[in-house]
Amino acid sequence: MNKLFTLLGFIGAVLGLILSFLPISNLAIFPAIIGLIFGLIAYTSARKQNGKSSFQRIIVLLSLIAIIISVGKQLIFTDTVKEDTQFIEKTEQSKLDAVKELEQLEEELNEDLEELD
Amino acid sequence: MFQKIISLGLLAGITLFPVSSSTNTNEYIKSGEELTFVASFKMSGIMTDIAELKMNTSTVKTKKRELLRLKCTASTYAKWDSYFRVRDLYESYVNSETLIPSLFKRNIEEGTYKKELKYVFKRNSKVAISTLNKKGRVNFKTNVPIEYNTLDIVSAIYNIRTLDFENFEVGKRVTKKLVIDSKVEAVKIKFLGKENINVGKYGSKSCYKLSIGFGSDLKNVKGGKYIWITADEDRLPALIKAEVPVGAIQIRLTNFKK
Repeated sequence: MNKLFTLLGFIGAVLGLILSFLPISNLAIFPAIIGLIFGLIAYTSARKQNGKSSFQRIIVLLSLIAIIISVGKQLIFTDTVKEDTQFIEKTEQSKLDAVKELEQLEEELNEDLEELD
Repeated sequence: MFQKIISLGLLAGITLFPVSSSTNTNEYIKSGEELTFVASFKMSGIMTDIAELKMNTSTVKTKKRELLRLKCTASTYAKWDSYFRVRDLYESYVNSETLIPSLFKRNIEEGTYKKELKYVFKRNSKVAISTLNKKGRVNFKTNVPIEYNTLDIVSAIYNIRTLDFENFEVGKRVTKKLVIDSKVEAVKIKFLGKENINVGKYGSKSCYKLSIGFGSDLKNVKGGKYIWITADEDRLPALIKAEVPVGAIQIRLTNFKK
């Protein structure tokens, strides 16, 4: 049973740690908490059996790091859009092109009206 | 995927208004308005902010008239740019009184995918000339038959805000036609009444709640789609929610300037 808890804890901790470095770091909290719970159970169980508990301790530590990174990123960093001069220029150019197209449309409309006259 | 999020979000938020409204005199939409939204995607029960949406209005002068430029941009947050960079631009050039469009332009850059789409509305000929530019298709033109009140996706969201919701009965349905992907699509809107919702730093606001349904090809897009419009003189699209097969999209108003 202890092996199963260790394995589940390890998977949760590693997954949490990976997710915590990605843009979806807010999702890291779930596997990290699972890693922490199973890691603690495995650690306590190993200690009771007087076995080695260093690996279980690493699982707990990794889970805690993942939780700290995930929560910290949400508290410290705010989402921003990178200033993109190329995109700004594109929107301005699009406006200039649109004015030309609208004027062309107006001319065509005038020609149609003149034909009707 | 992202195109779907933004398009569905825009569609959900942008496509509500009765035919008659298009000919109403616009009292609410003026030049100089700036709205900022956050687009989020629900993953594993948690909303993840993905992009910032901006909607601006400005005046554009041609040789003979003055039009209102309705500009919508969608940009992914910096943290996403290395994975999937999005820079979308949607524009509609409309009559400032009726909000009927003369020109619509869509320029999207989503990851490596690029597409340009333009509709020139020739109201006298009852046709919209669609020009598509994308990989494998250069200047691909299509004539789309339209009616006098046919809108595009951007002008639509502004049209909805001018509706006389105060005189709408709960359950009232309206249908509107707009050009989407070079085809005219019917969009069905149902007025669901008033609801108080939290609009970020602006606190709780009374809003008109509407549900949206799509016709023809878009009917396969399942799930509820709702929009909340503030029941005040600003008529702000405060919140948009759309369910998609892989999750849910939420677009919420974070800032506005008039």
